[in-house]
Amino acid sequence: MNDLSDQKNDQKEILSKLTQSFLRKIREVEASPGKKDNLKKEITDLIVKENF
Amino acid sequence: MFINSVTLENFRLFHDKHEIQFSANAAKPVTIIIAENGAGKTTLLNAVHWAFTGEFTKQFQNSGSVINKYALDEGKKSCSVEVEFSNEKKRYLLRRTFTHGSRDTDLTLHEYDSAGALEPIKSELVKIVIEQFIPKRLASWFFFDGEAIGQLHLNGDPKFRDEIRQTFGFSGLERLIKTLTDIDKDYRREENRLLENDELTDIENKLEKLEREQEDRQRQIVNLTQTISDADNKKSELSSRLSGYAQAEPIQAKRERAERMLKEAKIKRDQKQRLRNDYFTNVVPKTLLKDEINSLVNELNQKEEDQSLPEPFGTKLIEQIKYLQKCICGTRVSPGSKEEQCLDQMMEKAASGQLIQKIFSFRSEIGSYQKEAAEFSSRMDVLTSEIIDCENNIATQEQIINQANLDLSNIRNEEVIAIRKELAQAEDKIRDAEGERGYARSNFDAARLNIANLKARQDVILSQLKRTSHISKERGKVAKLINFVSDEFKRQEQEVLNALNSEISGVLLAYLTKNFTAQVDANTYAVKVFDIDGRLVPLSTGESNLLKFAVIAAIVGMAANRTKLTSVNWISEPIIAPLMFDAPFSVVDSEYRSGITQNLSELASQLIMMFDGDKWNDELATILRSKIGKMYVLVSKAAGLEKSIKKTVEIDGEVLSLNEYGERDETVIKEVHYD
Repeated sequence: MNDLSDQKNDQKEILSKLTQSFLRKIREVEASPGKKDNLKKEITDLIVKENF
Repeated sequence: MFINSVTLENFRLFHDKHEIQFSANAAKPVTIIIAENGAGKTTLLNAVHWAFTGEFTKQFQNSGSVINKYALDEGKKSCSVEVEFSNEKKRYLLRRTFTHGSRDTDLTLHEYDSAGALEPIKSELVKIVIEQFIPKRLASWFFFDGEAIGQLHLNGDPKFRDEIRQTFGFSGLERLIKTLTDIDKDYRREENRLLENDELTDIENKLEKLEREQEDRQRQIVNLTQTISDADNKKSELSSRLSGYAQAEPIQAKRERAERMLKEAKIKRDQKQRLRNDYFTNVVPKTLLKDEINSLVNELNQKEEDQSLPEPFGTKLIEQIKYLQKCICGTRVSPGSKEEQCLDQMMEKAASGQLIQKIFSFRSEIGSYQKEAAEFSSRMDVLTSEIIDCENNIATQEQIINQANLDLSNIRNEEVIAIRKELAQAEDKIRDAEGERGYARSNFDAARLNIANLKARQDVILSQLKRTSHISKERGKVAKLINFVSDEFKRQEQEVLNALNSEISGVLLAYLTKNFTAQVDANTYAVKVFDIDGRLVPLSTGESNLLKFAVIAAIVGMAANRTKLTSVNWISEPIIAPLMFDAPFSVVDSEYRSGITQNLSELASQLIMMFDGDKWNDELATILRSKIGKMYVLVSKAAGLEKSIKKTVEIDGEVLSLNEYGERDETVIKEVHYD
């Protein structure tokens, strides 16, 4: 039971950290409007690297 | 972000170099600047606004040369503003320079290293870094010109909504969900391409079409909301112009009152209609089963009467043991023995307890069904009659409005006629746009449901096909992220709304004599105020300005996590920046000034307030005493012979001069040591 809830918490932590790094990337992109961005690819790569 | 100091060099009224330090001390976060009209308060606010954004506030545009005129005469060709600020333990120096004759300004940003030396930030990154601290479009929220408070509309203006959501970081979350959804779509498309399944191809085509339609409808809804808000503002402006005519004023007052009541009655009717629909959906199945339920209850009653209800398992066995005086395990059960008493207790439990409990809950459940079914007609009658009352009220108010329109049309004044015509056009526009928006919304919802169903079907097919499991795995991760971000977003949005409602209501309850509460609309962010009976109330201009200050303070305070009544667990990163207020009380009634000051000083992480000399008084000094870290006066110097006009301000018993006479027109900054 404890293992299961630890696993859930770990996963929530990963999801939360990933979300923060995506949001940072979005802020960078939004700070330079008009410039072509690679947001989708960068986010896809970040997700592929993580196991959750 | 905290601003530590601002240095102006030959910027407008400020000849040569002038530095002003703002208090960035968490215990004393307030800086007070006092000056007479025209002495440079707005210039100082704009210096900071310009340094960060390269633009001036609306009120300050086109008001003369940026470079100080004496500096130009001295052959100096440029002016600059330097802002030293800190953010999360890092310190930066921002400098914007304007050189005479050039079209653009020069912007540099340096970061202080641990030894205090300046390290330049690459020029291509400067704007990106600054935008992270204070986005250009939000700057006027934090560097606020008090005279512009009238331009802040709380009636659901989409610009206001967008800016609030950007301050709270919602737009980033929206973009993230959109990007993740696009990634999910790419994976689905890739799987489909590899699998060559006809049904999947069909679903994908349908999804693409529906999603394109969704985007179009979303754009349409946003545009229509903007149209409604613009027309509504226009209508308010025209109504108040109309009230300015003596003949029209009493009719207009009647008309406005009827319009408010009409709006209220429509809201009430819609609520009642929703209530009736929910009740209908919930109870109709029970009324359809009414006969079956009644026959079940009769059967139950009959069986109880006949004592033919099935006996629970175990009671027969216990009777047998008692009769044989011997248990199946061989233990002897003599009459009156401990064993027999134990069996009696078990019998009691099995026979009455459980069965009675079951019958009781069955009866109570079925009884409530019966009761609801029996009351259905009378309850529906009550609900319908309440809706009819609302409809009658709507008809009455519409009649009053029509009569008022007729009375207004009898006023033979050309200007009144012209305003009335424009007013009618604005009203038509609102009505048409509302109708169109309702239609677009229902189409949007229907398409959303279709998309969800198609995706669910797509998932079922894909899960049965194993050949693309590596893509499915990645898609699964993306789906988890979409769910996580969407859930967190929903939670945060709700927390933000709750916090806004309680913070704004808190201010109204604390500083208005009437018991008003505020409610922020979840979709439009329109702020509505209700009285103690839950009726929508119109606010006077003074109350409305208090409300606007309460909204600004709540937004800034929530972003900085400084609110006391409620807090938000942020997933996005809201903007935290100093609140610099020029002439906050230019349009605020004196009775509300103390309350606003108290509220702002509690919620802003750093507050810079700039007052006219006559607005600073003992009451404000008492409220702010423990929070003031720095205090200044801007002394306005005039060239020429000394005149007898002396402007002063009294601070802590000391009388300070706000104007002087000297060799040139300029402003100088003087620090006041304030304990």
